[in-house]
Amino acid sequence: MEHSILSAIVWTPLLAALVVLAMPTRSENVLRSVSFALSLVPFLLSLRMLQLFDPTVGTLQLNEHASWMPSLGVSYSLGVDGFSLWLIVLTTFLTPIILLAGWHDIEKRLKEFLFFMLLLEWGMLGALASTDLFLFFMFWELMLFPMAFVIGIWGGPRRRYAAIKFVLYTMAGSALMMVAMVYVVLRQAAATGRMSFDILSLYGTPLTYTEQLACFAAFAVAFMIKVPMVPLHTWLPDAHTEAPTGGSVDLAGVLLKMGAYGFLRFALPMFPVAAQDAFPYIILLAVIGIIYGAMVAFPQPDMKRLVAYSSVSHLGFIMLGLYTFNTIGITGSVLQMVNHGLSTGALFILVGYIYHRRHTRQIAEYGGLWSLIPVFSALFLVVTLSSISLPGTNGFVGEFLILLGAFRAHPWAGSIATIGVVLGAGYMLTMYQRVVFGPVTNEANRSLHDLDPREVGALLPILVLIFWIGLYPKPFLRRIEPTVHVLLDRLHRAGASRYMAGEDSHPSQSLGIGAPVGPRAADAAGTVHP
Amino acid sequence: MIQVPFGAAEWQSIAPFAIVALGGMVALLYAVFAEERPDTTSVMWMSQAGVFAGLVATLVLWGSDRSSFGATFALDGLALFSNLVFLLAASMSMFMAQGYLEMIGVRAREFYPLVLFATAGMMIMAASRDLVLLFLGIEVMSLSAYVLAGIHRRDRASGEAALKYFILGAFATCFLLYGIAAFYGATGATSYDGIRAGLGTAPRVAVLGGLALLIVALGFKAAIVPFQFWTPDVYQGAPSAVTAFMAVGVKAAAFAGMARRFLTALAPLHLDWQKVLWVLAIATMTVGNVLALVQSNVKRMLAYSSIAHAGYLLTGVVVGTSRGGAALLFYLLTYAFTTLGAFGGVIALGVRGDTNENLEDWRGLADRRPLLAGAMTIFLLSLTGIPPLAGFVGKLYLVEAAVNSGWFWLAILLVLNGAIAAYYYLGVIIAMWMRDPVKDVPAWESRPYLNAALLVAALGTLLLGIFPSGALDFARHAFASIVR
Repeated sequence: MEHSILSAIVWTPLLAALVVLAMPTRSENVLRSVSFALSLVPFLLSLRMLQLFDPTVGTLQLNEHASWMPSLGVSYSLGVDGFSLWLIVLTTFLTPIILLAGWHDIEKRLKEFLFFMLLLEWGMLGALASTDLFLFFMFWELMLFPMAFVIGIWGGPRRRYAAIKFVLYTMAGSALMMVAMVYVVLRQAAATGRMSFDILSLYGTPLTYTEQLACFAAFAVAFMIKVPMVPLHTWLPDAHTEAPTGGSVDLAGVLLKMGAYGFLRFALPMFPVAAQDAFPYIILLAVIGIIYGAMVAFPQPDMKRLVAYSSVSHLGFIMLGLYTFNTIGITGSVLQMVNHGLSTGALFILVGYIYHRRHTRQIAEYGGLWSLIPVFSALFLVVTLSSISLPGTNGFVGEFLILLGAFRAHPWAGSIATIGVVLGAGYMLTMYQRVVFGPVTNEANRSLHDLDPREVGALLPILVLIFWIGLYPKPFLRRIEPTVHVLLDRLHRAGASRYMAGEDSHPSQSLGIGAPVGPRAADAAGTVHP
Repeated sequence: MIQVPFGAAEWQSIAPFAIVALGGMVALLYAVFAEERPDTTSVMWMSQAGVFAGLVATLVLWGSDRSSFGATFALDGLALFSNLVFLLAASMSMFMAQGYLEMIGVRAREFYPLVLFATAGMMIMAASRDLVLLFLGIEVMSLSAYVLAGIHRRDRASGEAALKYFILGAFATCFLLYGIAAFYGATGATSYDGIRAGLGTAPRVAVLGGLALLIVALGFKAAIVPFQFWTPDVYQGAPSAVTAFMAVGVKAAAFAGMARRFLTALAPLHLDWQKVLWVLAIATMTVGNVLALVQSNVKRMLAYSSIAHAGYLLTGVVVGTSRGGAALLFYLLTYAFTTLGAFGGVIALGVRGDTNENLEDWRGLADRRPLLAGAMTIFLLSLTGIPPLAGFVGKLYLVEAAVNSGWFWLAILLVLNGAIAAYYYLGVIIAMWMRDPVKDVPAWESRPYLNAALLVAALGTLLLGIFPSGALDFARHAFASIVR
């Protein structure tokens, strides 16, 4: 068990999915209970993984390795480090919550829904735990389809359009990534005489600058679609709006993080020089995303669509944090991935609760809910505040670290991003105020009943984490930081060797966006313990 | 008079196709002369026995690497590996035809022996190292295929398909003969070794002319743009079991023959044919995929998709290395399982008097027949190239071969085409899973043979995707000795 804890975490959801599939359909409550119980297993296993995880080590640990396709150099390799640790825990944590929160949401084809949700969990966990590029790619493509099915079968009126858009966007991106992946592997094979998709051996692939740029571009586009970064984000509002609650939570909670995670795990360390040189573009797009997402979120009449656009903005922060190339920024960014999963996931669950009661998500349909359903309104308030990063909640810690890092590396980008924080408070509070405060404008809402214990219970774990991370983030940051150092070291060395080779000056000077990145930033080793 | 040796080596190298052809003859005689008119099932099983015997012969000879009849007939990895694909196609389409032919009102026992004869022709094509033998193989295969396409005699579409296929096929044969003549005139040989040796001194015009004629002829059989116009009509008109056989077997034979010819005899001319073929490859995949986008008939859509896959397969030839050839062979195997399965799904949906081939008829299938919908989803995702299914590994291997030889644009266009193709494959998946049925399709009638074939295809698609190493290594060895 100790030696294959990651395998256990990855494969139990698939087993659970197959068990659910094999069960008789008659009793829906039995189906729900069994899948809920089974979804707790990976969560418990991931807690065990947390226990086994050595927080002082920054490199991959709990590694597993087995030969898979020797002729192609593909192996079954799993591992975890500070980047994937919390995302894995988040994934296993969210799935039971989704099942519990959406107990009565699904009215048709329940068994298939549970099957696809567990399958989706399997795909996401596999992608997060893979340390073999081929294995990662397999899970990366694989998790598309359960999600697409969840959107397409149980979604809203435009569900099929949203599902196909979601799949095609991702597939178009990953098509080029596949070519780049093969190219890198072949270059590596030419240098070492052995084909290998193992990520650690690919980190050292000798590539010329042009090759790095081309391959980085291919990887980056695939990941930027997933993040999503403006202007490749247009699939997201549709997918989020149409998806059923459970799908939205998984989408916001984990699927979007795959993009940023892809940068951390693959695009940055594999193509360190090109990745660093791309910073003006990435930062520009990140900042545009922050502002644009917030501006577009403001006038949305549909709560879910509003939250979806807020995700574009939040993910912009995460990308900005990654591209600060200093410890504070990247650590904050990784933490913010988890935070966004928690707070946006909770928002979607709350919207789902109220949608289940009234079958509308239009903000204008509500108003004055505070007097009618106080428990809902109170929880909604906490989650909203977490989403706008109020101090004391998790969002504050992440966003603060990101901005701190950004101000050190790129003050201009940092200051513009700060506007995004203000805007975020603006649209979220406006929505909250219109939905919850004021007089009761719609008589239909008078018959609303407040949350029942199951609904509150599903949200409670998220609330605990919101405050835990908000008030005492050290246990979380402590496990992320060493990995950030490893990454920065790698980037630094690649950058340094490049400057020694006599390449031209860093583009940051000529473009005047801000201070030099990573290798030159003086604070690269700055430690964070707020 | 040329002395042709005829010893043990000769017997061995003709064994696989001779056994299959013999099996066909026995089954045919049995079907015609048995005391009581035998039912189709027993003829089918006799023919399956022929296929099985051919498979045994292929496996016994596995690993051989020699040529016989004065180096005109090969018994090597390429021939043996291709044999597997042909035999798979033959066996599966016969199982799928069982019950299906009766359902559409065809009581033709000769169907099964004809499949065997066509298979024997394919095996000759894959093994021939001489243009005349290649011609012989093509004709044996094609004549049977023409009849098979028109086996539904009372059906206008089937008759039209047969006639179209025949006329255009005959036309292509002329090109082939002219091509052979050109090469013979230029190099004084029809054998691959002879041609290769004679190329150095041959007049360039005659050689290039012959090359063009050969590309046209095999392009027709393999349904390569711009010689693909017959494909949609013939594939749609022919009974689905025959279509499956043509889409897999005939195409595989054309590619096996093409790979051997271009990578051995014409290897010195690779700079010339690569220039043509890479354009054709891209045109084929793009035209196939774009036209498939607008089809509302699933069978016709699969016909266009098979054109697109011909484009992918051509990539393996264009690359011109042994890696490319191996990728081609492996892709043929994955394509065989997947395409046979997909056409099997089309067959499974048909009922007496209504083929249910329109996309609308597929709506809501997941509710009524979840297993069939699940299997079909596996096939469609594999055709799209989604891991961990067979189609993905096949595509990855093609991309690897292309990138390895510096054909970046070919690789990029190949994967982008995969993204286009995702749209129409997904269309079927969406219809099956995400839409409500439009009409009431009668309940599932049990067809054990078809179900078994679908199960084998689904398992093959899955296993070949998850554990491709064995087959990959075979494909590599198959080409290692041919391309130097």
